[in-house]
Amino acid sequence: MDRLYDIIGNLTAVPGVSGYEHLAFERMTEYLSSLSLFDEIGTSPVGSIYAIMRCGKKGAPLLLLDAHLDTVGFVVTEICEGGFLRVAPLGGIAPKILPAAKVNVYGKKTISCIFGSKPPHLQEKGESEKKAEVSDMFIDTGYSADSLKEIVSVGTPAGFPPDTERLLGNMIVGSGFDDRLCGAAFLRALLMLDKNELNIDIAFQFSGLEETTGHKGATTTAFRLAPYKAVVSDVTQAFVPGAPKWREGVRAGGGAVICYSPKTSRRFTDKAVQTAEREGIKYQLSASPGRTGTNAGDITVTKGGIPVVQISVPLKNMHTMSEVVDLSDAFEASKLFAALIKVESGEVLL
Amino acid sequence: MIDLIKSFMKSFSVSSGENDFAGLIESYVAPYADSVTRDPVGNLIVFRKGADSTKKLMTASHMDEIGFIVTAVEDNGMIRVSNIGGVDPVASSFTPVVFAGGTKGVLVIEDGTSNADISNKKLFVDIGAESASKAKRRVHVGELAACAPSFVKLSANRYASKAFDDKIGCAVNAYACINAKTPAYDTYFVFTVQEEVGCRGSKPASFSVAPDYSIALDVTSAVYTGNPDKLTVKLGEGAAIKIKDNSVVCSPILVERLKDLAESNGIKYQYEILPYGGTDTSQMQLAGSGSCAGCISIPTRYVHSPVETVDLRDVKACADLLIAFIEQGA
Repeated sequence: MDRLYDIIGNLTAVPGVSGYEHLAFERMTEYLSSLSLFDEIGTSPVGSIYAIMRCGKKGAPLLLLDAHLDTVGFVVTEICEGGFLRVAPLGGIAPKILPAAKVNVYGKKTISCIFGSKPPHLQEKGESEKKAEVSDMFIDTGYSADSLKEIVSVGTPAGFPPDTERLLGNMIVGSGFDDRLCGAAFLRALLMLDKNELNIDIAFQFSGLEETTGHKGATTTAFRLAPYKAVVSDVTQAFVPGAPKWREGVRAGGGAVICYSPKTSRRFTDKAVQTAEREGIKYQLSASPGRTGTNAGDITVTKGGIPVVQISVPLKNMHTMSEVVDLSDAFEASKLFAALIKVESGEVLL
Repeated sequence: MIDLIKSFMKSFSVSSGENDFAGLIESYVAPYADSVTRDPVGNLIVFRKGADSTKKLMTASHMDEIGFIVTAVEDNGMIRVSNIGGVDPVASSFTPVVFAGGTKGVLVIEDGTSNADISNKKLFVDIGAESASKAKRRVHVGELAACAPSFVKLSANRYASKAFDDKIGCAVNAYACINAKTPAYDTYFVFTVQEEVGCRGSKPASFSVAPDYSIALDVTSAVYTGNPDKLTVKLGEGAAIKIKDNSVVCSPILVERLKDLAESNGIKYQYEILPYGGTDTSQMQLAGSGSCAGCISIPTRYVHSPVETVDLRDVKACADLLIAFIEQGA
């Protein structure tokens, strides 16, 4: 589990706001190479990185592991007098969490800034009743407008600073756990395996543009890699007070979440449940009636069709600077990925 | 034809749980096929070689039906479900349902819900369990459920059942596969998955087949009392040649050809312009660099209810028209 925490720290340290994943390519490729797992690492024009672990056997089918690389963030829309920036959100961010939050602006150099907003003391009557919008906020950079223009332009991305910490027990907090955490869980799983003992090749795909534009990074790279099956992992909402009662079944600390959906493969999902049962891996079940809200549904209908299972990790405070996860859930997910890979590999006759 | 329909209507096939129904269809059509395959997502693809192998025709009917998925087991043993596809909670509630694993139950609406507040968020199934632990032994979160089979003969030609959408289209597709003489083109009779959750299965199937011509077989809403939606289709007036729905404008070449074939073969037909809804036609139109796509619709009353109603003469007209196109081509 310490190794998993270490990987999470490394992955979340690299900025990759949705649409600006290319800014993460160099450092992420370097990190993936350093794991000595992969035989081939590549990037796509649509924001994805993929890394292939080959078993070295001729005719081995390719299993895809998908997590998304991009995180929610912001894009600069205006450079204002006094060194303030106006921004638009990239992905779903609740404006109410922003005032006084730390934010990094990724210009020619990275600058640490603070979100500001008009204080209550200066608001007109009735203004506080108005629903807050990201466009009402500004980023306070501390620079003069002129020197700021040398570092930042309209279109420069910004995001929550990476800041991963351990809390009580196995709880951890940080930003960008959605979905770097699941990427880390996949990598941890691959470190549990000996590729020479496998009969399948594994492609790990860190896909772009999940948060903003409808899973375009995942489907394009899946099209290129043409796997015979795919495991998609993303974070899911853990139960908190006030959430609908029917969501009580998915809790932080309850294990990996295996998700049933009409848009993924029921047979592959059943197989994941059976594998977890057999291996004594802690898991919980969830059901997505409509949208999966992840890459899973779209990868399923890519090319001639790809059976997909979705395995999630429960998370609290999604899309904030303080996403909270029980590390043991991610570790159970790692164990399940590794076990499932062995099951798949065992079914292949070469 | 009616025996085929009766047999199909007993099958359980909620979106993503189409496997058993695929097996049933396969058992009927396999003897007439040059090859039968299941693609990676579960589409059943039945191939018959044609006189002219330079062109490909794809016909598609969807195997899946709307239904329910278990989202939670409540403390008192009630099963909370959510809808899969466009379920009308008013139409479906207070009726018997069956789960994929065979458990029986009745679909009810949350206690104290006013008629105006009825929605798919208020659906529960009572399986007669006295506690959560007893319920969990019989169903699991993620398990599918559907309205119980309810096939009934109303008159000499008219029948009511749940899930004629689109098992009746599958019956037409299978019937044509069994009865058509040598197809004009290489023909792929495809029985698709996941149509009710966004016309999904037909996308990879269209990618694999890459047809030149494609025809969907699906139900369309037929007028009953009044006509607030300005529907064009009536029960008993023949096969409905689709001109458009909310997902597609059909190829005018195909519309014209289907009309000519209906007229020259003495098949009763009508035109369909549906102001809502979508069909696999849209995905087939986009297959590869595109195909000439159309749809023969089976006029159906009360679509997405447990009492969808069709006229067997229309069903036969649809099958005759499809067979005419398969044999005579564009």
